[in-house]
Amino acid sequence: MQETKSPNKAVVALIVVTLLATVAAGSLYAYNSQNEASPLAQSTNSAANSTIAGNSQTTSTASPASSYVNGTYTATGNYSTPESTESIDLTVTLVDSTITNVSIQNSGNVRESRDYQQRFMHNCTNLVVGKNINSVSLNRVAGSSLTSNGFNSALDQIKADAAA
Amino acid sequence: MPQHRLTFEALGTQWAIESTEPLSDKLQKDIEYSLAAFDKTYSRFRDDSLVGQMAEQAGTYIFPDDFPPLMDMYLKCYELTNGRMTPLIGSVLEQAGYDKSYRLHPQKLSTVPDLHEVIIWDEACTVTTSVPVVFDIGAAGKGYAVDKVTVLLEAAGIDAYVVDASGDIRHRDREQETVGLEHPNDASKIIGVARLQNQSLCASASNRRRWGDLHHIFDPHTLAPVSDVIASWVVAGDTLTADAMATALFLVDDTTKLMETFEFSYVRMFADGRVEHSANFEGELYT
Repeated sequence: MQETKSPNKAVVALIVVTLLATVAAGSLYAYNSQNEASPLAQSTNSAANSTIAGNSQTTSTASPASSYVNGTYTATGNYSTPESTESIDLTVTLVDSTITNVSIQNSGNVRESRDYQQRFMHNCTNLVVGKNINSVSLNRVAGSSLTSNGFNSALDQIKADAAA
Repeated sequence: MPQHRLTFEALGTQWAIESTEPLSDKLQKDIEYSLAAFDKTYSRFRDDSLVGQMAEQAGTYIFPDDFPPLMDMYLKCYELTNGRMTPLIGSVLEQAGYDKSYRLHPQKLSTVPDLHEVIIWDEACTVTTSVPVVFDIGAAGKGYAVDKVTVLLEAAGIDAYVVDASGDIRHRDREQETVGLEHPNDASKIIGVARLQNQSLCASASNRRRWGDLHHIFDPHTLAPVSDVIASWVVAGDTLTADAMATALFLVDDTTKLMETFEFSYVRMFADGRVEHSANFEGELYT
């Protein structure tokens, strides 16, 4: 550990959350110096914007009239905590100027950072494509429980009744 | 890894125990006896079980020693899901037709009572009920039974095994396993894989225990089966936790409180084809 004075943990936590919110919203925060009290927050927030702004701006301002080249774009946002330097990778897929996929990979170096990143990330969703079972080398497959013979025969009986 | 594979039916589903060393006859008997005892206590699908008696009349019931962790898990989940995950869902499942005779013909569904109003638990093995209750531990019981089986295996010196109770899996081995996550709408496909080592994985989905337009995971607040989440997979340190979380994920939108309370990772799939995963999930998703 370095001997520089550690900033208040709560402030750092707030900054991390703010940074994540910035990434999440995909919008470029206009920094309001009047409402921000902490100079640390200012520099961290600005740094976040400068590294991620490209993609963020694309996210929020893409319109059918603009033309962006189709493809997958990746950006890395870095920020410092008292314990470590953390980064978040953001990958965005653009098709006809529309974002079709966003994914975020975290690499929290310390537990606290991972936790914060995780809270932000676990709401990330993607559409499932799926693969054939035979195309992947597996030890086993997990889905819903197989039903018992009793349940299955009852179901068969009901189907038979319904058909009669 | 496994050279030996034992399969049987217990607790209403298929089981497989794979191990590098064979299970002795005595061990097999012990496992069979343990699962039979579990069924005799907790199955709401039989009249002679302890919970079967609880459905008949109010009173004080003494559970076996394995009860406290299970009840504790249910109470925590009850709080964390705002009452949606409750062992009292049993009455709704019965009325919906998922009863001991597998009637599978729904009747009128009645409201589920507040757990704390009808059940008093002494935090040990005694439960006192103020009304007859249909006590259903389907959300966590099978996972817990898997843990009980692994205790027997380890006590007998079996230290490399996979217990797979049809989607509730406990792995212990030096080698990692790759477990396919079955597509809930197409069993010939997987939506991804989980990497599993010395952990438990539980899967839950609404695709098999299904009759008419109903299935076995009901929301007591709406008295309807959950329809937005269609499948979940949870990896945790023990199978009780993994199983309970796999059900809880059907019953909450925001998973933050669950993740703050229990150590687990997860994937869940929604009816519209979206899949959500926790950041700590180790595996791959085909999206």
